[in-house]
Amino acid sequence: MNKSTFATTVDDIIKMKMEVVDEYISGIVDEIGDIGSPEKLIGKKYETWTPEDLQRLAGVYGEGDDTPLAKLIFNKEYEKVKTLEAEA
Amino acid sequence: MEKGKPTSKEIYEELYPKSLEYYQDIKKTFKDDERYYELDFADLISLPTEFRNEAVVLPTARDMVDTFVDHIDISNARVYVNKKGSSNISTEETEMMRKFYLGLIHRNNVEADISPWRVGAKHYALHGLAVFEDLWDADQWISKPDRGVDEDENSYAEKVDKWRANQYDSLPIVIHAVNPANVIPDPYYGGRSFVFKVQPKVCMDIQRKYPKWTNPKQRKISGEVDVVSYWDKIYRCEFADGEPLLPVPGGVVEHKYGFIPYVFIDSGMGNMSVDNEAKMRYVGTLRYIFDLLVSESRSYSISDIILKRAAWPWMTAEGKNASQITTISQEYGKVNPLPDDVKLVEQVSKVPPDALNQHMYRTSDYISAHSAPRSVRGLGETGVRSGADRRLMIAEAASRYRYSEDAFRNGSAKVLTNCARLMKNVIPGDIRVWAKTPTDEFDMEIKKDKMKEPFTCYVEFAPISEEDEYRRHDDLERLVAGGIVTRQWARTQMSNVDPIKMEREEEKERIKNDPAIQSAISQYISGKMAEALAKRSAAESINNPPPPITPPPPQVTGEMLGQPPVEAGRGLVPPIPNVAPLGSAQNLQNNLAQNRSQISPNPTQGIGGGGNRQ
Repeated sequence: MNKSTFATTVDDIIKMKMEVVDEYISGIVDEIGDIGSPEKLIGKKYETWTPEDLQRLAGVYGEGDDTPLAKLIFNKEYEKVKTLEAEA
Repeated sequence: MEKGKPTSKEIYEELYPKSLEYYQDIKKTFKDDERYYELDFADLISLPTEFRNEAVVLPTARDMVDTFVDHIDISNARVYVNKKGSSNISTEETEMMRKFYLGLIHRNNVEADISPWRVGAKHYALHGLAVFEDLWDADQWISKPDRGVDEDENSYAEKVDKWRANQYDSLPIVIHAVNPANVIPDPYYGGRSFVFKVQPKVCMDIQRKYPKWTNPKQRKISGEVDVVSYWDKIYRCEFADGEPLLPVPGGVVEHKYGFIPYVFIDSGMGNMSVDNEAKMRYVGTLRYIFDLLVSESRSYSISDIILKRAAWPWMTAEGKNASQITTISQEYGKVNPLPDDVKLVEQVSKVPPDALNQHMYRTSDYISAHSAPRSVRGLGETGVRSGADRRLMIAEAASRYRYSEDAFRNGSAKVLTNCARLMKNVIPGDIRVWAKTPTDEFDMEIKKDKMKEPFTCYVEFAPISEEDEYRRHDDLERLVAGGIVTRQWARTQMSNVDPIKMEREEEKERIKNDPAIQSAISQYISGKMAEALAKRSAAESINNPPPPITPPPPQVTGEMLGQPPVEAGRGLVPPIPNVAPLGSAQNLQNNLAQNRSQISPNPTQGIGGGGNRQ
C-alpha cells in the first residue's frame, strides 16, 4: 500500500533528523572517542608488550573483533604466521 | 620503448603535419577575423582609383566584438567547492580548496599585465574559441634547479622558490589565454587526445632556455623560429626547426600532470559539422558579416567623398565686368568691393542621394541584428519609449550572450581543477595564496597532503553591483514576508546561498531548540559522549594515572552567616537595554528598514508606456 503524503513527510523528517544526529556523532563525538593506535597510545611496539599491557589496553579499547586493538593483534599475528610459513 | 609512448619522429613527421592540415583553413579565417577587428580592410572597399585614398573604415567591427566581450562576465568570481564528508577535516579541506581556487584567479589577474580571462573573452567573441593554458611555471624554463636523488620535497621546494624569485612571478601556476591560432587540437572526434602549440620565438631565447639545441638551420641570433610543443595526457615534447629540445634521450618526457594543460572554450555559435571542420565549429561574431562590414564602410565613404566636395558653399561672379575680379576673400566681416554690374550668385550643390544613406542605415541594421543590437550597446531602439519596454528589449538582445556565461563558468572550473591537479601531482612543496576580493580576504598556505582528488568546483562570475544585490535581496524579503513565495524558493534565487544546505541548517537549528527532541537526543548523545570520554580518559590514564582526588573545601554562603538568600532570577541592577550601538551594522540595518517604503510599488508601473493620456 502506498504511504500517505503525511507519512512520507514524517519519514523524511525522521530520516533527516537521524542523519543530523549521525553527522553530529561522527563529526564530534567519534572524534573525541578516537584515541588512535594501541602502539602509539602505550608507547611500545606490539612485540614488546607484556600481558599487563594487553590487559590495560583491552580495558581501554573494549572487547570485540572490531576494535583497533583486535585488528592490530590479528594483523601482527597473521604476519608472524606468514613469516614462519616462509621460513619452513 | 614504453607502450603508447610516441617517438619524437612520429610526433613531428606524422601527427603534426596531419593536424596542421586540419587546422590550416581555420587559421586563415582567424587571420580574417583579426583583420576586420583591426579595421584593416580599406582596400576591399573598392572605390574608384582617384578616391581610393579617401576610403573611411567605420569602427563597427570593433564595436560588435567589444560589446560581446563586455557582456561576458569575468569579474567578481565566486567559487563553490563540494564538501566530501561531514567531518571537520572535510570542512577544512573544502574551505582550503575554495581559497586556493579563488586565490589562483585573483593572483593571476593581479600578476598579469592583462587578465587572462579578458584576453580569453576577446578570443571567444572574435574567433569563437578561447584557449587557456595552465602550467607549472618551472616547466616554461628548462634550466630549473635539479632535484637531488635523496632530496626531500621541502628542501627542493625551497630551492625552486629561490630560483623563481629571480625568474618569474610569485605564484608557481601560470594561467595564460593562448591565441587559438597558435593551438592545434587533435583533429578527430571522440575526446581530445593531444594538442600542439606553435609559438614563434627568437633564436636567442631558445638557446638560453635549451643550451643543447644545435640550431640546425644556423639561424642568426635574432632569427625567428616556430617552437612546436606537443602535449598529451602523459607525455610532452618540444621542437625547434624539427629538433627535439628537451634534454632527455628521444626528447619525449612524461610530464606527470595527468591531463592536457589546455582548456578549450567554444562559443557555441558554430556547428559540429559532418566532417568535423574546424572552420564551421569555431565561429566568432564577425565571421558571417565580413561583406556587410565592407558595404557599410563603402556607403559611408561615398557619402563622405561627395559631401566633402559639394558641401562647401561656392559662388559664381556674373556680369560683364566679372573677369575684372582678382580675389574674393571669404574671411568673416571682410567687405569685398565688386566691379560695376557684377553680382555674386550662390550655387547649390548636389548632396549624396538619399538612397545611399538609406542603404547605409539598412546595412547597419543588418549588422546590429546579427551581432549586437543597439540596445545592448546602450543606444535607443526605434519605437521604444517606456523604461519597462526598454529593459525587456535589452534582456532579449543580451540573451545571445547568455551561453558565454555558462561557457566561461564551466571553462574556468576546468582550468582551476587542472591547477589543483598540477599542485597535487607536479609542484614540489606547499604554496601560499592570498587574495582580497569584495567577498573574501585571506592569506593562507595550501597543504598538498590535505588536497584529495577528485577536484571539483563551481565558478560563478557575479557581475551585479552592490546596489543591484541589495535591491534583489530586498525584493525577495518582501515577497517572502507577503506570503507570495516560500523561503525555499527565495533562497534558490540567491546565487550565494545553497537552498538545500540552508534548509538543513535551519532544520538542525530547530532540532537544537526543540526541548522535547533535545532532551531525547541529548540523552542518546550524552550516552555516546560518556562512552567516548570514558574511553579517552582510560586512554589518558594508561601512561599518566590521575592524581588522588581531594574533596573541595565547603563554600561559605550568606545563609551560613545568618543573611537571607538572594532570590533566584532577580538581578541586583536593572538589565542593560538591548539597543544597537550607533554606527554599528545592526543600527544601519534598522535605519534602512525604517527608510524602506512600507507600501509595495504599483506592479503595473512603467508597463503602460506613457503617452496614452486622453
